[in-house]
Amino acid sequence: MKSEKSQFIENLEDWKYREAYIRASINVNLPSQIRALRLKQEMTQKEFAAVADMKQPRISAMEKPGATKFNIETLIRVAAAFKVGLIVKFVPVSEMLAWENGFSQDSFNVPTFEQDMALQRASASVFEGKPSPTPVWFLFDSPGTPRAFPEVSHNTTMTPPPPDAGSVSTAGGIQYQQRLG
Amino acid sequence: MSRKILLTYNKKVIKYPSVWTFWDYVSPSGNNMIEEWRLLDLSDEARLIFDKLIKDIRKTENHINWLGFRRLIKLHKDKVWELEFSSDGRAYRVLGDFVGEKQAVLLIGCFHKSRVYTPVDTIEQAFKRKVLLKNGTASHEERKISIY
Repeated sequence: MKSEKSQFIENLEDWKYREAYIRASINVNLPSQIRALRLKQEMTQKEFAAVADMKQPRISAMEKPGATKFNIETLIRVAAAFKVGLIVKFVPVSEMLAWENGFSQDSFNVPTFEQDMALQRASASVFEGKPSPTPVWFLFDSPGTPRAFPEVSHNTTMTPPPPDAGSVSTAGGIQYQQRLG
Repeated sequence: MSRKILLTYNKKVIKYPSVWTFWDYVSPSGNNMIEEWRLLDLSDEARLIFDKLIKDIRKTENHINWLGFRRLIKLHKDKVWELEFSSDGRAYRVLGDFVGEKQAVLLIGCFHKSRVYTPVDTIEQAFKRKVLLKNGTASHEERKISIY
């Protein structure tokens, strides 16, 4: 008899199953995050609807698993209303699974930009041209464009710069560059 | 030495909040009615949503905050809870009951459209199954939570 894992990998061979799998994940994980953030910010659906400039039934539908076909524009509006950022990125299935398995509505919280300490630190040195008490690191996927840094997420740790990093350093295929204030 | 720290109040150990355990209703003839519904009535996508929904809500302490939690249905002095989800443009309902601390049993699953449950006697069936579970005629089986 096949293990659950090998059955899952075999199922993923099928394009239709892969599509259903990703859709099911999104259809549960997004409503769950929206509900969690709304509850954390102590808003009713009606209050959140007013902030997001949407109707309350639409918020209600967005919190029901599978009831809404989300588009990026809606997510941008929701993120802006919650005063948080939004990352939409393609990842390995294992990463999606790990995120999903570690997710809990009760413990999920995303600081608003006012509470975002990393953003506050970065803004002091980078955006106002003042020296930062702690070095501010920008992350480059080599070769490529800068990635948002510091990475702050509810379940990811900040990637520290390598100990011997100078102004430009490469570690683990990632290029770090120190931005001097 | 164990590093486990126990919370106590008046020397009574307070249990750590744990995840919910979900059970499937098993008929007196031994059929797991939830698994049958899941396999026969749900599409691949609906089945995946159902599985992921159960995986999600088991970690939500207060059932009122469960994703898809709709309402408590009352009949006389008894009640069952109702959970909702959609897939492929169809709405589904799952009715269940609490059977202990952080223990819930899934009694029946059905389609739902324009306030009509299919099968039509879904709510009556849910209460009937609840009674059968209470008097020991029917049993329940733990729902396995897939990590995939």
